[in-house]
Amino acid sequence: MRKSITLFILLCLVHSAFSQSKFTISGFVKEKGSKEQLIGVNVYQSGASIGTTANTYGFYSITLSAQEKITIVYSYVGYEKITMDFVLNKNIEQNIELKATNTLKEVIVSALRNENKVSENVQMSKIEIPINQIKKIPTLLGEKDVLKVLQLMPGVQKGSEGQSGIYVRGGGPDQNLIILDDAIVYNANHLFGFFSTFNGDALKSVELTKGGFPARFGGRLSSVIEMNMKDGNKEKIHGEGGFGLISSRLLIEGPVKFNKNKPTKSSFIVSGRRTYIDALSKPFIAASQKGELDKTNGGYYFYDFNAKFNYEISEKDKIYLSGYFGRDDFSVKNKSANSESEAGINWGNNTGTFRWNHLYSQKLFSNSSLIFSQYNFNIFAEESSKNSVTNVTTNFKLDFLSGIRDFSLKHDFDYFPNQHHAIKFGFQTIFHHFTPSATILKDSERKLSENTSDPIDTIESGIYIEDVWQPVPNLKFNAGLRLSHYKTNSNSYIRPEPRLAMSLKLSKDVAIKASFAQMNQYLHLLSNTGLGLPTDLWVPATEKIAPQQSDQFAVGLAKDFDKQGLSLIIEGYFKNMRNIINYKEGASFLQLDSPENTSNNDWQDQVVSGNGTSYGLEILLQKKVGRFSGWTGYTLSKTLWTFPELNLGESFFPRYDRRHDISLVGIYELTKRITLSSTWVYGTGNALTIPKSEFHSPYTDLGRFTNSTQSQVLVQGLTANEFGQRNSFRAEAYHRMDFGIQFHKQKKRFERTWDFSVYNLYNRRNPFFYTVGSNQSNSILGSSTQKVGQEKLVLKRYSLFPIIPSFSYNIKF
Amino acid sequence: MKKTLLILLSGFLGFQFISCETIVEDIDPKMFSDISEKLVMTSFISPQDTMIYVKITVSTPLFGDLTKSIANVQSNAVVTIANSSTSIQLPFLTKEMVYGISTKQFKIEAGKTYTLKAKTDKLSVEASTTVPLENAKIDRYTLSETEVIRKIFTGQNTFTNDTIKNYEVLFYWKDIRTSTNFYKLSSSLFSQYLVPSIFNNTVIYKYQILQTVVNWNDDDFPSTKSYFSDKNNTEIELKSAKGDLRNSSGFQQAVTLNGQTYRTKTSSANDKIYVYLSNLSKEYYNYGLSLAAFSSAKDNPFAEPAPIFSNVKNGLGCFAGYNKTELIIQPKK
Repeated sequence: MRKSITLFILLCLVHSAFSQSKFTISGFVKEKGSKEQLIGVNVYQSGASIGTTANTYGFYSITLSAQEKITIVYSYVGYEKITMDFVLNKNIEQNIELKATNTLKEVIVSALRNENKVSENVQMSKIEIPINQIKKIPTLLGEKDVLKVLQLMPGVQKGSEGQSGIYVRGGGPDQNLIILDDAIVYNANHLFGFFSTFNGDALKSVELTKGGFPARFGGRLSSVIEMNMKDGNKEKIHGEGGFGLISSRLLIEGPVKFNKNKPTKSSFIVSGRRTYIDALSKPFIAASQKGELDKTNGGYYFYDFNAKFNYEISEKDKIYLSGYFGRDDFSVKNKSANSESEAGINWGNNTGTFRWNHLYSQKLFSNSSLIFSQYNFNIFAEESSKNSVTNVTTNFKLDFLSGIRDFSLKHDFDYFPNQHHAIKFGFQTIFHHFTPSATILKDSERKLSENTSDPIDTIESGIYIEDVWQPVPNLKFNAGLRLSHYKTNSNSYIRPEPRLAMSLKLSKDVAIKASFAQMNQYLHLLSNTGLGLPTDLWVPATEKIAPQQSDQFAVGLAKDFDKQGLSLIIEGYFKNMRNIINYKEGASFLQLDSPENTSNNDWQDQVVSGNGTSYGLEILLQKKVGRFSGWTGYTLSKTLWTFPELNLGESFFPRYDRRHDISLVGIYELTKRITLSSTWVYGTGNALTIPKSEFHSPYTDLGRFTNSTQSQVLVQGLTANEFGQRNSFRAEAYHRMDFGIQFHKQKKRFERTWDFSVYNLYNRRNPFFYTVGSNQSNSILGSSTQKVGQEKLVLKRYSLFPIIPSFSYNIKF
Repeated sequence: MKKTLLILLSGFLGFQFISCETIVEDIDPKMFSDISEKLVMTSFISPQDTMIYVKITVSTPLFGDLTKSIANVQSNAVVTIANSSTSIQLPFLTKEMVYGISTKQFKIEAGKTYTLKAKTDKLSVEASTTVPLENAKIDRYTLSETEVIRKIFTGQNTFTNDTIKNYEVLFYWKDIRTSTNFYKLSSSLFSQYLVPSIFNNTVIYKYQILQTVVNWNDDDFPSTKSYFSDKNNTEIELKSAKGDLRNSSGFQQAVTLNGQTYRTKTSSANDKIYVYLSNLSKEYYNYGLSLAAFSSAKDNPFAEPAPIFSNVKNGLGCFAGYNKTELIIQPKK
């Protein structure tokens, strides 16, 4: 390893030494009309296999040999291509503005396009979804959702029905690094995972990496979901909003002028969303309890709010301040003559990022970030009751809190020494403050007053370097190394993480790719529901619970069909995961909350660790532009877990092992005013543990029997279930079709869109969970399998969402 | 409290409102591996017991008939217990609904291994256990008494006071250092009551004994706090959880004669606390704790499945041994 690093550095140096009589063209690429910086724009020399990509801040730099005339092409999906000629005898700074294309028109020009070819990019296992596509795909209750669109991609799976949890290549939802403007978002769920915290309005880009991770990313095993917020329109005030069945949202962005006579240097964006089930239901609840002494009231809401401000100090320095705040709150209040009680759950994320971009030279760009991120949730119950006889008032109060708070510092450099290299290097340090569980208990009746908390502070750091190196026109490498470091009070880890990706072009539009990435994860998520519940606890690796580690190999083929505007990606992967964790048999978060157990709720005793392997094949045929766009994805995969303490040490399928997964997504611009869209998904059923029989489990206390209890011997006990092998039951397959239609109309001052969608079009009863219960035949005739009056042990399937139509009204100005 | 939170969570998820239940009838049996009836054999043996009891039932598999009682007791099995040299068949005791035999007829000895077999027409099962060789004694204990005034309603808004004794107990014992050990602590309070009744137009009082089982202050059944492990022989002295013997079960009886009401009289003078410390075979420990894990997880849709421990070959249930000591505390003497 050490040898190859030395070799790599030497090669870099050699290249720099010979890079005389070369000049650099650099600048920022922005969107015409809003001056929004565009991420990932391709900048390349026409007719040659030399090019670069604009970074997260729209900065590009390309260094070429001196030439009389050179043609540079700027191209980006959904934007009109710009071709510019330069006389390359000096360094040139050139900012570019690209104009968004009209999709309907584009059908004519698509044959000419040459942008974002999958065969050109060395990065594999990466998914980019244009935000405007996300807004066209039909969804549950009309709430547009970034993460649910990602679930429609091969290699990415959803968990349970309607959930926004993401399972990438056999990994759990805890193994995804979700970052919004450099800040980690720990719980991306609203309403128990039925909606994600990202509604798309304020987002500029969404990228999911499933494998072949570049060295700049670390800290999770399975995926990186990187989201960047828009910076805000620099030219004019712009707004977007919508009214849906469960929530309304509004976005405002615009320039901030400090001096009327000078060009705008600053802009802002604010975007918010809030549900109104609570407000709507309140009068109905109140009316239904009119005149009653015992009154129950409750409500649920969530909101999220994004805000960003940027300021251009000079050509070379820009600062950005962005934040996200989201919260869910559910509570129930009960009031009767002698008692009053309230119980509830609330949770939320807050993130804040301050970034400073600095351009050292045309070839060296840097960004420094100061990041704050916090997630917490609280379950509480309070009761105050008065004994009518004794007149004594007793009070009970329980608060269970859990959370994680990060402060972090990140410094990244982009260095473009010449046309063969694009180097990124930097470091990040995160100060984590975990509060896995804190309990406050006050019980006046039992004279208890406890306040327990077990905060843990840890430091997680990473230093990295990666180089996209193109030694010959048809061969590209991204070689990198990340050195991760993690420190707790009792121990510390230093682990090198080698990363390598390569791409070999076989012809003009076919490339084969391969990658290897080793990842370490120093945080665990304790979760046993499979739902995106707020009760899932983030906990650090400790002395007892080692960090998770994975190795992933992937190979693939990428082909572009230029004429049709299609791209085809076929990838195979093999992933090995070590020290992944799971709750012990019978364990649950809810066992931790027993008020009497405050001293004894160490989460470390509730979990076990083991290993997992996953391998699979993924096929993606995608059309990103044109009147008809969409994709077809298919995944064939297998995931196995082996935990010494689960299933008697034998390997078993985790709940979300899925042999086949298919998704079809189509968006069709029927006319200028009508957009049709539809999705169909199919997935093998989840692997579940279902009771296969019921039996009486006798029990004795081994104490002293009185005469009356003597005959009760071995009668006491409980009705128990036999489970058999863990997760040996396969749920029925999941499939569903959604349909959506949008009507757009340009009004005088704004554009309005009516969005109608139908979730689960053919009303498939997909399994949400199964239970075993009894069924008594009530029918006079009985049934073919059951006689009248006979009680049978049966399997019951619970489905969540039948066919659900919804609509929303959206405006844009 | 746990229940409240559960209700809160489930209500929250709105299962009742949005989920619909369908009974899956046409399920392919292949979706399950091996669905069949199994014999459930349960027995716990000890040198200190006077009887060996074995309970034999049959499990009801999925899609099976539940009309029969879940206990589903099998009375026609051939049940035998054997040590290394002899074996004996146990008769079915119709009153207790179990198979049983006196330990005078078949002795249970500490340190010995026993094999239990049961056979019906279709099924046969077998299990073995070794009774722990040694036992441990309660070394010391603390006992604190509190007097509690209990209100007894005599009319709609009238009541009289009754004073009763409650005990809080804490026990300590030395670990058996020769091996890894598992323990179970059991305790009960036996109190005397004078219960009135009318006989030949006079009120007479009769003694009755009431048993109150200790409350180790946990919500679990079986109480997980009554189980102990010396953690691979690393603990030298073991200490129980705080146990409450609350004599407050509301044992009440009242008779009225000639307009006068006579009530139960409580007396703590002859209170006796029985304490049993059992050195368990690992099977009993695993079984007891797996039952507790199962029962706390069974109504919780979010909990991991909790399989019940079994050491019965081809079947379900548990055959385990224990070796116990007794301590009787008489607080008034």
